Amino acid sequence: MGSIVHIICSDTARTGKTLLARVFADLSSLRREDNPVIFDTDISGNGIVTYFPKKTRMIDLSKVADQVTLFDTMMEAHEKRVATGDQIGDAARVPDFVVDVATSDLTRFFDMYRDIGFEKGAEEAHLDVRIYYMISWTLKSLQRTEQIQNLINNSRFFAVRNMAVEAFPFTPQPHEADLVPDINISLFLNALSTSVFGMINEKSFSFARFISGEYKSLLRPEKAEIWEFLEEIHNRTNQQAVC
Amino acid sequence: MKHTLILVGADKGGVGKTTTSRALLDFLARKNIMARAFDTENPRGTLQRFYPGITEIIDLHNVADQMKLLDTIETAPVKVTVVDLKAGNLSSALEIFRHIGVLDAAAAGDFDLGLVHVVGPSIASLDEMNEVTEYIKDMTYVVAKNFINETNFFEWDDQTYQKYFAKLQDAREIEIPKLNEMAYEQVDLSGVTFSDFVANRNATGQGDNFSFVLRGYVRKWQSDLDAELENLQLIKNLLGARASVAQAPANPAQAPVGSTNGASAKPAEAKTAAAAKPVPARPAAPKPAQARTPVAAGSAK
Repeated sequence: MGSIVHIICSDTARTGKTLLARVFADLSSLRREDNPVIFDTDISGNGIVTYFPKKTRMIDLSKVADQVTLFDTMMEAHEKRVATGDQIGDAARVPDFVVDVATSDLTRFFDMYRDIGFEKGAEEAHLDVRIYYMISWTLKSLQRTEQIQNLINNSRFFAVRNMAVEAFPFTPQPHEADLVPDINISLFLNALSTSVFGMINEKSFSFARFISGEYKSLLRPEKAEIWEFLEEIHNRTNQQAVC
Repeated sequence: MKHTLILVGADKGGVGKTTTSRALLDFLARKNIMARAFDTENPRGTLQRFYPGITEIIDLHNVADQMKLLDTIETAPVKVTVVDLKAGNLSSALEIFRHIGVLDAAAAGDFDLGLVHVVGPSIASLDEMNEVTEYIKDMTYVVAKNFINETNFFEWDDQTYQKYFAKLQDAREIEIPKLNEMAYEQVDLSGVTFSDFVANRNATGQGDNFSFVLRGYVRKWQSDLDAELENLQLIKNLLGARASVAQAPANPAQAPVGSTNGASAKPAEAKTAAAAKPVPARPAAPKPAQARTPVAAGSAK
């Protein structure tokens, strides 16, 4: 297995994008201590860098030098492994990548993704690219989801519905009925209780440490809630990945 | 397949003649059409740095060099000749070609002749077009707007543009698409062809370590460029002839090999071609017949 590249994106702010990116970053860190390499394109500094300041590289996608840093770093991971005689199957030595794409960078990111032929290159570099699109439950967001999904050929695409955000299902008006794309939601994020949500949003909270058995003072229901939340993500994404 | 002579020129300097020549040679290589090139930027030709194996530097005012170029058009093993005319040389080069009888030979159908006129954003470029109208009757005349360095054609308001283009009969306009500055610079510094850069090969054909992102930008640019070039009749003729040669089973040794600098060409990429833009017709300029004799420096014009 090669590197896993988690790309988390959305057309709308506050859909839980950074939360999901944190989960993948923490799960990846369990594979190897210095894992993963995190890229944050939100140059305002309010993205995932808040939680992983040491592991995160800030990327200004409007700058070509930063574009090179982002995509070339992922490509070079494979080349370095080949150069050192490492085997594709040696997962423990392969860095994973988490890319938290700022909402404002969505179009630019996927224009690049298409234009530079990232998918083809990633396939040749044995990168396992997984794209998580956080859907805001609006017609516009659903249409944008479809547009992005149509760009994806070889990578795995997950349409993600965060049940904590706009929990009332979108009901199209009669004139919109034909405009609603048929999106297959492949991952639901459970809506968390207020107390758990507040706790996991603390900068000091780590899902990796939670899995490792820290936070012993947590109440049993809270632990169960977090476990369920993580298991859903892990099982859904890995099940789909195997498929 | 008829021989084809493609001139790339402009009177104004710095508009991207050599870049356009490189782009054209790169396109031909990717389409498996063998070509040779002449660079008239004597004595130092930039084109030769990128295509050392197929480029010769000549002085177009030197009779021996004229012979090297023109007397070999129909005998050269490759069917396409690209000439990168140095800055300020376009009008005089066309005059030389007319004087020698090259234009007449093309008119008689001895070979296909094309002029890719690279223009910049200024009115001076439009005036240049005015000056070449008397030469272009029997050739494919292509106005290439070079956007590779994100040029804005700010001075070309529509009214002025139409005024100049109204005089040009059967002219075609193409745009050399913009290429990311850093990508362009890296290709330039590396001294490799665009295709070799994309294929991550250095000038000796060995693997290199060019940026994936920058290679991607160049690949996209090639694809956009293809869409422009493939709509030119001159190019269509070449592609059509290549296709018929490739399909002919009798003599496979004649099948062209698409390499311009020793490295193998990559297969053509799929694309959606945008139509090259025709411009309004112009009354044909009278053109006197001339003897096909090389002309010495200074005797033309």
